[in-house]
Amino acid sequence: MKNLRLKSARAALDLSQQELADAVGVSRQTINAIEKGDYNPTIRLCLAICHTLHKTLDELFWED
Amino acid sequence: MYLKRSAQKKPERRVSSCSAECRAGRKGGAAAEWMAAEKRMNKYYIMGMLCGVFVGLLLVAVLLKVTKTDGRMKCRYDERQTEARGKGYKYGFFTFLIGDFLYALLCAAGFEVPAEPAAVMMILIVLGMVVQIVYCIWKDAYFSLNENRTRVLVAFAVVAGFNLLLGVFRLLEGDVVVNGVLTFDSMNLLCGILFLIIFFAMLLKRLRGTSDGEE
Repeated sequence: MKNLRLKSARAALDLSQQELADAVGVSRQTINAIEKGDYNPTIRLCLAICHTLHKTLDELFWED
Repeated sequence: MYLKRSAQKKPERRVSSCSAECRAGRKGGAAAEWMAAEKRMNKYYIMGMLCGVFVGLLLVAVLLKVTKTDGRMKCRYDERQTEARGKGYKYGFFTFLIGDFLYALLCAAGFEVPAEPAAVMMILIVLGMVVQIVYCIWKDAYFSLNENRTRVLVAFAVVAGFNLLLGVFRLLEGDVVVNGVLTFDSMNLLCGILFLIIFFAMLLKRLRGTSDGEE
């Protein structure tokens, strides 16, 4: 399932996939795979993304 | 027949032919001189091999350093890449195992494989490597985070070119296939083909990557 919340949070900060990837120490393809729902990140990477985008885990990764 | 041919070429195998000649009635002094010359040749052969290994290691070290963007030699992978690489190793390993099993079955059934056992083993290793590397390339897990892709692509093209050149040269000399049997001398050709496959897989992924960009 696509993670549109992550995509919109990234876009709100005007960050590209590459910039977010560099900030959290992963490849651009990994961010792309998370946004497309092709890859389930570990809690460590989720936290790094949340810290970078100033969001909580619930806001970005909790499925209702 | 092909074994006899390689025995003529390689100095360490000539020792046995010399002792046979000695037994056949060669004069003691000349035989001793001949044996000493053989020993010297063997020494130079081993030294040459060691020099080759040293130069090879040096080249790999330079290549590892040159292809990194942060000046380090070690590759850094993220968690998705590490996972994909693990799967790639698994598929490569099982490819080798299945190939090895099939080869053992063929041998046990009395089927004559038209290749030296060493050549078959190397083919299977190369096959396993191809599976692992192509899988990793396709899953964007081959290049590390601190690697310059263009430099790696160029380096692989050069290695493929050199190996293919040497392989074709040996093929024309008639060392690769002797009496319908593939010999271990086919290694350069095999390595050339391996690097060529890797090069084209990288190129294809790169071309596809431009359309698979940021959404």
